Amino acid sequence: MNPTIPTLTKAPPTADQGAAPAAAEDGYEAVTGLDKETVALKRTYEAEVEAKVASDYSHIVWAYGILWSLFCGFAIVLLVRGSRQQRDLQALRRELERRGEQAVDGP
Amino acid sequence: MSALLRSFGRPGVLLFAALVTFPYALQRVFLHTPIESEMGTAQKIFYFHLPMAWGLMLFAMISGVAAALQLLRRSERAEDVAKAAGEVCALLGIGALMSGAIWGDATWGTPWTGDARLVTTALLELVFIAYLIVAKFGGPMAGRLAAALAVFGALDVPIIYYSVKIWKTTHPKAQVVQSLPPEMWASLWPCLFAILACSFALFELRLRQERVERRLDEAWLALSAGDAAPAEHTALSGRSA
Repeated sequence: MNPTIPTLTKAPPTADQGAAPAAAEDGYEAVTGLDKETVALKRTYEAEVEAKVASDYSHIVWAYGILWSLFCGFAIVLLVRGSRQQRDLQALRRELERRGEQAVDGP
Repeated sequence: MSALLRSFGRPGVLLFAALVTFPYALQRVFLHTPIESEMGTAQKIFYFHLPMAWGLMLFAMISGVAAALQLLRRSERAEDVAKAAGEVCALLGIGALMSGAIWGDATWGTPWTGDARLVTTALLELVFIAYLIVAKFGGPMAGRLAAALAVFGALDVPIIYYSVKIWKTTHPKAQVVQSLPPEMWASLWPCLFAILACSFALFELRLRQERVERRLDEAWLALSAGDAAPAEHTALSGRSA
């Protein structure tokens, strides 16, 4: 968790705590919103959650990446071994052919 | 498609199945599985960490049993199985330990503790790495010593399983898995299948290579001894990998 982000010490106020004042008699109704303290608390809360989720996803990406890189790495090792064996087999065949020809030609 | 799959053999089919299952598993984990209430999003590492750990124990047992057969019956076939399973076991062990460390860092605040489950798993990993080193570099007479190491490693598997029951551990107990809600199980199954299919495919490929290697060695030895005819037969019959 990011240490610079302050943690909540109390729950953010609910919406009905900042209830709008009654409409004025002349029809004018003032626009009301959340008070600054509530907004600040909610933003702090959002930042805290965002930091936790971002950190979690970073860990997930590393974990999944490492797991599948291991499998891919092992598959590459197998491919390299396989091609080495193919070369060895070709060499063996050539050697057998050479000896076969020698046997036909005689000493 | 079926002809293509047949040409790759069973490992090809397993790899293809894993390749198809993996995206499905991922979308299930991230889109259809609820976020765990205590650990949050980081708990999603669990869906691949657990299959790696189960695979580790499974391949350790396969390698240990094959190594025991190698010791008792002097079977070369069992030796090949033990080596191939040992390599996959070491691979899965690295995966389980690293994903566990990353998950621990996210949820416990530290990648490593002296926890019994962690220590016994690390011990298993070290034993199998030692087994592979001895089997590869120990020379012609080291096969039996290496096999004994694999048997010793397999004996660690029940200790790993019961470690969370015997000792007080930070690691979750085995009952946690049994008590998972159905939607988490529905995501765990495809992950388990993808990891195990991939592991068994790599195991079988490695096993074939081990057999080919042995036949090639025998053929070269026979050839150098002047016995070319049986060597040709042996080498050519084992070149299918």
